[in-house]
Amino acid sequence: MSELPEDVWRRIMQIGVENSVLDFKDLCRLSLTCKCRYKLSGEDALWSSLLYQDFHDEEDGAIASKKGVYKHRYLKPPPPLIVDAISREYYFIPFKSDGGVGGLRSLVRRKQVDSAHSKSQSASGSGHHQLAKALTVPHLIAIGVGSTIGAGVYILVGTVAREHSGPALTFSFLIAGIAAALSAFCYAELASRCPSAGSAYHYSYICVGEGVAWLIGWALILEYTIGGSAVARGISPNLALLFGGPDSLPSFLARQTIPGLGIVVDPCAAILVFVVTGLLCVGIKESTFVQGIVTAANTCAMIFVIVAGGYLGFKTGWPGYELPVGYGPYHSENVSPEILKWLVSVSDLVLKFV
Amino acid sequence: MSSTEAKKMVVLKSFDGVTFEVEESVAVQFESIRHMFEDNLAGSVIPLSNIKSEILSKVIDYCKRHADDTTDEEDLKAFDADFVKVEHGTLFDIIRAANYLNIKSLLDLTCQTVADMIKGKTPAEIRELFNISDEFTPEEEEEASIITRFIYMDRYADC
Repeated sequence: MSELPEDVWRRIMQIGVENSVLDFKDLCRLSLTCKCRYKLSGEDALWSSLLYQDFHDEEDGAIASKKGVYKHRYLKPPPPLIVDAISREYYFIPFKSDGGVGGLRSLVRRKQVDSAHSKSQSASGSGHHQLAKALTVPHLIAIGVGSTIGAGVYILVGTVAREHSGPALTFSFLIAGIAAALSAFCYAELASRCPSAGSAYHYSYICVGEGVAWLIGWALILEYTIGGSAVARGISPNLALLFGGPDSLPSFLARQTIPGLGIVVDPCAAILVFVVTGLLCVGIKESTFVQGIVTAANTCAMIFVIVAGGYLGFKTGWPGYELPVGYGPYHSENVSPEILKWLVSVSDLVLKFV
Repeated sequence: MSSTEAKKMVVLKSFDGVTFEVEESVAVQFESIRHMFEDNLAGSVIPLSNIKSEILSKVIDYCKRHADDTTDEEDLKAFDADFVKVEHGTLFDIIRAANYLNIKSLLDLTCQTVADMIKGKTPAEIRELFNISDEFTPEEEEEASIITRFIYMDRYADC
């Protein structure tokens, strides 16, 4: 049996597509049968019809191969359906669900970078409510520095130097700094590619998928909850020292143990959390202002420690550096992973605000 | 041909020498040979050197049915549905004939039938169905499938 002529094949495909008998899969299968069909099934006329049928794309007159455009449209979610201003972050990505695959798809579906779509939205005039830009570079520096030099820097340096690294503490900091810088570069790239608030949750939603983003979102909440409460609990011993001794807090502020349950409650920590929450609710400008003051005080204290420590060190000839093991860490494998982790979380915190 | 003035006849001769006499009202559907009998050549034999007599008779059958204005829509649909219920080889021959004679409605009908046949078939099945020899070299096939695999992901699943 001889071959059907080329234009018959063209007609078959065209009719099949027009009457929605053949879909993209059939065309692809046809294209795999032989060279002639491969060429014919890639023709723009067919894929234009498919584009219109499946995505309601009008003819755009672009010179790009329509098969390529179809591929692009198929793999990339179509433009968002914007419901209203409040729910602008959430939209539906209509996937063709192939039975059980549909459920899995929603786990790996990805969000579009939404800077482009908010731009097009404001251009089209629907103009959703956008928050005014309040933070500038000095504010961000204040937040960053403030988060970096918390109470930890006074305690951790001493602890790590004494317990782990010894005089090689500076190397520990250098290594941790490089690692933190790498992490910061990652964040910087992500922040410039996906220029909208949302931190790691948002980035992973765009880059990996909804399932991973869900995990990361909850991990972030957990991290900040635990981190915040740990810091808040640290206030009461320090406040007690201010009052004159470990046990000299007024009784209504002192830690109480609930009888029977053995749970320790810390009123100071609770008050601190409420104050900070209230401050954050007032506004980002006010919060940043307070943070700036605290950071300035902190920096002054630190400069004082450095200057005074340096003076004392030079006066006494740096006695702590004369170690029998030399200028190295006590255990080289212990180059302060704590500091590393701490700096990484700081860079995360800073970029969250970007 | 001694017939009435109203019913002008056209004589067609198939590849294997069988002649068919058809009314001009039917033969006008053969777009590609229309000029031959319209150019005042009525009565002469028009050779169709690449259509077998059995196929030509089927095609003429179809055209007669469609030239008849009295047949109602439903009957015509039933006839069409019945008409394409033939062996694949015959169907392809009819397609070739329809293509050669340029009978649009028949070509559409048969192409639609073929499209229905292709629907959901794997490349291997299509090759077998249409007796296509695999013209791809392995490299070309690889290239084609790389470009195509984006949508046809289950290729290796149902091959």
